[in-house]
Amino acid sequence: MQSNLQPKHSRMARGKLKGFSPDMLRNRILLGVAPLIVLLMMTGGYAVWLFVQLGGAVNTTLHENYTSIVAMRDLKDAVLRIDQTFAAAPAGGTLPAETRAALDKEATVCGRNVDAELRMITEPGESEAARQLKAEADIFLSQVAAALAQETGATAGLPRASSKVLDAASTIQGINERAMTQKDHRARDTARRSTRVMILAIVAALPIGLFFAYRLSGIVLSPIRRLTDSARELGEGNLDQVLPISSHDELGQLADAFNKMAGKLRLYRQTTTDELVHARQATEIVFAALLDPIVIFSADGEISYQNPASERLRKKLAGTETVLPLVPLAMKVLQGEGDYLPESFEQAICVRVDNREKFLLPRVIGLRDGGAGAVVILHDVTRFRLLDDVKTNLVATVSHELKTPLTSIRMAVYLLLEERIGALNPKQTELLIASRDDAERLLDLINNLLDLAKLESGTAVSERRASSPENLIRHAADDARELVSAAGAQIVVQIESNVPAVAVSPDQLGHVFSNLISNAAKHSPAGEEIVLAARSDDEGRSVRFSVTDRGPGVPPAERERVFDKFYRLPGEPREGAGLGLAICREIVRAHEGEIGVVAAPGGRGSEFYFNLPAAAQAAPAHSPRI
Amino acid sequence: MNNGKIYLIDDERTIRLTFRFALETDGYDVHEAASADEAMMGFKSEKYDLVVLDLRIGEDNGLDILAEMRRRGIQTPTLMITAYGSIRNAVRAMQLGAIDFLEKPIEPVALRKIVAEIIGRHGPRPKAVIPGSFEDCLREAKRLVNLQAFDPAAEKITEALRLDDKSPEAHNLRGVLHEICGDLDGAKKAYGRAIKLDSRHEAAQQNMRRMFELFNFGRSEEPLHLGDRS
Repeated sequence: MQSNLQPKHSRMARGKLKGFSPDMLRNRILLGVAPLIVLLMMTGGYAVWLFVQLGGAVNTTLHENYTSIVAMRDLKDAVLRIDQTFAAAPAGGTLPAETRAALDKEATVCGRNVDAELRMITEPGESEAARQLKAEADIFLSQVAAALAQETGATAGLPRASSKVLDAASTIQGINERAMTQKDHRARDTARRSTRVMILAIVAALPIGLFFAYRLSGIVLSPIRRLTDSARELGEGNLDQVLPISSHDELGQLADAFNKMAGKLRLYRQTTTDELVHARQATEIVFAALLDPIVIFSADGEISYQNPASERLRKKLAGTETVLPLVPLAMKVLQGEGDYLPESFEQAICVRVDNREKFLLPRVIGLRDGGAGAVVILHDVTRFRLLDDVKTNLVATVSHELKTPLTSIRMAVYLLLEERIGALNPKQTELLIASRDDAERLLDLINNLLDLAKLESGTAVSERRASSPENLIRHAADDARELVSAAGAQIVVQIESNVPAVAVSPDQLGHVFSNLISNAAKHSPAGEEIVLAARSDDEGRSVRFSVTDRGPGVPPAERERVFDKFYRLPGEPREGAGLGLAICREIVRAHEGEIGVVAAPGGRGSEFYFNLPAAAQAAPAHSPRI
Repeated sequence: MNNGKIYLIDDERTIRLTFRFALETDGYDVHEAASADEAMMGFKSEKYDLVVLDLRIGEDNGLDILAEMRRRGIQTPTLMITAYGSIRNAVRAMQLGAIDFLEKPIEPVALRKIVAEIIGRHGPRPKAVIPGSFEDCLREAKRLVNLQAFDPAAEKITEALRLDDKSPEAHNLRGVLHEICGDLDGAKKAYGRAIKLDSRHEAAQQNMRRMFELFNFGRSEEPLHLGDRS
């Protein structure tokens, strides 16, 4: 935040400090406009000057002329009134006082107007006329004064004097009226000229203004246009954009900022590209090195990449009838059905390559839930299959090698005991029975070992059915009843109501029960009960089966180990090989259950139990894990 | 007393010896061969009522011997002796007409019983068996399978089931026939029916298990069971 603010602040400070600077775009615009303003001012000034001059001249001259004209008119009126007054006065009569006063006043008016005219001499010739008017007026006024002094009203010479005054006044009036007409013409000429000059000025200012405006727009717009073009190209991915910085104004700063941004983008792209290239190279090297074929599908189901292993495989399969079902597998994931991640051999695809069977387990992983494509990995499980085969073969071989001699031994013993070949004496019979019993024991041992090997290799798999615990226990009880009663004990079945079904292989589970029951029978004192029970456990998510006896029980320290192979409780007679419980544990584990032993309720005897998940929670079918 | 001529092919001297004693005491004429080559020589000079063939003859595969026999037109019914998990391809044996298997170890009584049944199947009809009865149809069906006449065998088994559709043995045999014809679903259904009728029917259970393994692994260790063992 701070680093962002800092340059902004300093830039503002610099701007303030500098004040006017020709570098600033604003100032450049102002400079660009300045000639226009000057032009405007000049034209306007000239127009004002013209108007002032014109208006002023007209005003003053017209005012002076008009004053003169008015003065002359007033003078003439006064003179005429004086004339009329005298004319009306009776000859030789005395003038009444008010007439005298009026005449006096008129004379004063005359004098004043003459004086006014004298002050208002503007026109050529007017001065001469004024002087003459003055002279005539003086004569007239003196005659008036003389007449008044006589008080007789004698007006000798007065009319002549008055007409001269009147003439002079008319002359002056004419002069001024002519002057006014002339000035009017002149003013009109001047106005007409001014109009022309103004039109010319405007016409001249137009191109000049246009020129400056064009230059101004050029100054402002062309860098903006360059910037716009560059920004557009940048947007299209061409990051190699450098704008020339022709100025230091705002546009120059903008261009500079733009260049820096483009530079950073270039750097970023470079870094990202480097990382991408690196990641891609690494991925490709890994893919190339992998022996498992990998095919990547794009979202539309087309193959967008395959590694060399895939190419090799497809090349080898090209001529054969084998078709890898890659597209249907990928399509499922692309359609959003979720990743396909099988873990068992059953989903492996068997192909023949170079005359050898190859087992490929397809795994399909969607890119962004299948929306962006799918990766198909063909995991080569041939080795696992071979290992499995070796193990199975080993079981088969051992089985054959052990069972073949045992078959002969048993066959021989049975044949002898039949006594169809020849009669036996009691000692021979006894020996042969001993041999037969141990042959049976050996057979049990071999069968158990093979069962265990099968269970451990995960090949001893059989179909599971949802079975009711009650049925399972009743079957087990029926099967074991004879054995148990032979041992002097009796079977009691306790089944809770509403025990959920379990998904089991009935014969395997029967094996578990028969093992547990025969163990219980072996250890149960005569007359005691062996309790077979089933109850719902873990809130109905599993079923707990148990076989309880009243025998000596299993010491707590031994409870874990009794399920180990070949393990015998200390002091136990060497009957059997100690594989029964190990087999039980393998079977229960294969059913996703757990097996254990605890002290029987009441403390006497032991309770062997195993929990199996209820059918709904159980896996539908067990398959061996790789 | 001669109940029939049996050709015992096994590389184990002790097995040959004990099997011969077991069978001779029941009045069979037992001939022996210890290898594939020797076995083929024997077929040139003699005609047998039954071949008892171990699936492992030293380095040879019993199935190859069986295939060679059939190739040469020898249709002698064959009892396969297997050790635990030695049948890699039960269907191939069945297609070659060998539908009777015995798993080691074997007691004399069981051996004599199955041998008698197979030979009896190919001999004259016992008086106790009423012609056209359920037993007769089943017996005939098995005989036809031995002779690789699968279509007539299927007809016979259908007839048998019409007479008694509650027989797990017949359903089991029907499953075997389905399997021979490659109809695995049909086989599975038939075995399932047999098990439903008798949950303890060992042959059907074993066949079902094999089917299950076939479905899941594409192969099975379980031999085919015809259900004629006690």
